[in-house]
Amino acid sequence: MRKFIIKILFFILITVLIYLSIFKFLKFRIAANIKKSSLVILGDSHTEYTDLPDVFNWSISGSPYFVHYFFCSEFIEQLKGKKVYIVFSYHNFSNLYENRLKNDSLLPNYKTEMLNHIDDFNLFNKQYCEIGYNDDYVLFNAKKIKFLFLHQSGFTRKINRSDNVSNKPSIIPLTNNHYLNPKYVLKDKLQNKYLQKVIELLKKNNCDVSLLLMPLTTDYKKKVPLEIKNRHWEYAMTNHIKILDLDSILAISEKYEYFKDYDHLNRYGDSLVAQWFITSK
Amino acid sequence: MFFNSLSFAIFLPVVFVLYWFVTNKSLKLQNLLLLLASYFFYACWDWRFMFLLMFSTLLDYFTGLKMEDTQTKKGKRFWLWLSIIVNLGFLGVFKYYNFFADSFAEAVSHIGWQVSPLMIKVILPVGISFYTFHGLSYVIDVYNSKVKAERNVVDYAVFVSFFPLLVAGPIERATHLLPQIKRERTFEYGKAVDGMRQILWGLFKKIVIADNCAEFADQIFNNSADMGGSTLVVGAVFFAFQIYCDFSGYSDIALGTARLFGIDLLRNFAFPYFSRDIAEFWRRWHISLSSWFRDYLYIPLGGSKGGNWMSARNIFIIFIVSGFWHGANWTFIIWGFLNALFIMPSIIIKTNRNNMEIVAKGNLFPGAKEFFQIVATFALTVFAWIFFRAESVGHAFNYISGIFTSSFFSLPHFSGMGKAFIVLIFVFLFVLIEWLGREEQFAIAKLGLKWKPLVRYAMYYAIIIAIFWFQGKEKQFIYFQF
Repeated sequence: MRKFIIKILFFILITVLIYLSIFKFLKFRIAANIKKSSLVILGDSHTEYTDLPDVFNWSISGSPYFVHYFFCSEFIEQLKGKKVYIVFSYHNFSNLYENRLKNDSLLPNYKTEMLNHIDDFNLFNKQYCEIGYNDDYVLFNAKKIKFLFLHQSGFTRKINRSDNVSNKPSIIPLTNNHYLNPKYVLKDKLQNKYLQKVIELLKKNNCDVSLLLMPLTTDYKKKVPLEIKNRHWEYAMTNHIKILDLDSILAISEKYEYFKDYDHLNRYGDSLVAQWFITSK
Repeated sequence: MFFNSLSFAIFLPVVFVLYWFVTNKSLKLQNLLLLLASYFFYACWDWRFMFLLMFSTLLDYFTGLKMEDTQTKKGKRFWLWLSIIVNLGFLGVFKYYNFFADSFAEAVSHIGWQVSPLMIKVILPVGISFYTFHGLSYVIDVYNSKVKAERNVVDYAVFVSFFPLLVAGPIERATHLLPQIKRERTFEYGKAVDGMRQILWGLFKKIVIADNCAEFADQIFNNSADMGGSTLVVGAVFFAFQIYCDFSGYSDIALGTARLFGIDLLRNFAFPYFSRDIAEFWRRWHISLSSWFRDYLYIPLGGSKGGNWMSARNIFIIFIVSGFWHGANWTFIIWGFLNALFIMPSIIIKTNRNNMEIVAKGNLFPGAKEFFQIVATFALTVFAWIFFRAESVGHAFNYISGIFTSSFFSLPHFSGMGKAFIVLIFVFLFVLIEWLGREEQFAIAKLGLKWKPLVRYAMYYAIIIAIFWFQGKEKQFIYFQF
């Protein structure tokens, strides 16, 4: 019996130690990569393929601002004094985020996935009831090490393969998805609140914060409700935050060969953005 | 509390430590601990159904005693039928009532009567099909004087609700498990290590193979109308591996867990996909259920004693009942019927007991004939699984007709082909390991035992890393719904 217990405990101990070492190493590597970067991008699907030298890109598809806030809280020491771009597209100020969090049927599993991202760098997960009660909450999720590893190893880097928007379905479902869904009954206060929090946190730590508007197609922009557009620009003005408006700078809204759909760049569009960053540096 | 959950990873060591270090001086205390742990385990699913489990346990316990104390055959028969009717009554209400009500309404609608049956909205108590069959096997064995009625209610309750087998089997027999519960148990190092290895292998099967195959099986079955013939074949094959690794993985974890407590449960799977005919498949698939139907239904019906016709009739009965046991849906009944149909030629020409030994015993490779037989048996099994997995009979027929189109000869196409290819590599490796270990109780029972400890431990870590790394989207064990 003693032999069995000792062996099992030893086996578990070794497993835990290996797991902890890899987890700590990955976290350390992320911290080191942030520290050596000259610029940090906090983004979503619009910037997840933006591949730039000397830039730390933390872009998670569908990511609301609270994910960025908790990321910044975790690595605030390394972020101190850095230039930080926060993706700030029109849809970020629509009502889709809070409604998706409160109504899982709008985008199944979205809430769990996003709430889990809050604890990407913590061994144990917590419940964040203010943001949304996680029904699929688990105290410990071994899978997060895989996510961190893939992020750090670059294996997750995908290539946009679509050539242009013409192959894509109608724009109506997309704008419905972003702005006109009648099931969006909640006003999105969380996005506002956490954008504010992340900006305050970064500014307090001497970061040079800018909002980043990625290029969009004309078709898409036409469908953005005026109220959202106004709210978007007013936010930047009243909070005195710079906006890097790549949509205006690159002026490719009519050039569908740079888009994989109505509001996402394809690989040619992404390389155009990368080129701009490199030359304007 | 799933076997592959963190809560079970905490629950199991706690019970293990209490069992071997706190209650080890007294068998009574050990059994009481097992009972309490089992009830806690069950209550984690849904505490309300605890009362049903307790009632079923007490019913069978008392009917067992009454049968033994009653002197007349008529009296014994009364208690036997009371237990059977009440047990099957519960099963009928919870599992089959809606099916019968709905089928009745549909049947009478064909003759112009419109009936709106009263449907009951009730969750199926987890494990009800399993513990009901446990209890029934006990009372039938007591009636037939194969086993003495158990006088200790705690021991009997542990027999019914021992947590590793409570929710999805194996369906135990009083003759096998009760003596182990009543016997003093000492810790055996070899058995415990074997149990841990079996748990590890079960987790690999469930988390890596079954859950990953499920992703593609679900995708293809749920969108079967839009899929080509070859893709539909791939979907059915994915499901075949999903259900095998899901259920046999569960059984491995259950058997391994029981071994940690010094208890051997009945073997439930013996490499069924290496069977050379359907009869052999059914001796190797869900063995505890197949043997239950054989002993308590097929043989009482006359078995094969009355010649080919009697034998054929009884085979059809047990397979259809077995299908119905799985769920209240015509798809399961047709699945059972198909298996009876597949097995029939070997019953008629009396070759059903030709392949009793594991294939190619002592050899590395099977012969050409054996290989062909294995592939043909697998193909028949996969065909039958389409009915098992389909949402309805119509869905199954559409699925099958979708296979036999010109697109059968085109390359499969579905979303996530890259990942599916990786999953297929895992399936191939898994089949290879199963093949190499097919003469053992489970595939890795002897694998690496003669290797240097460092290499052996490297193998364990490789399996653990595969479980962490390649785990599919968590899915409930399929057989929990039965």
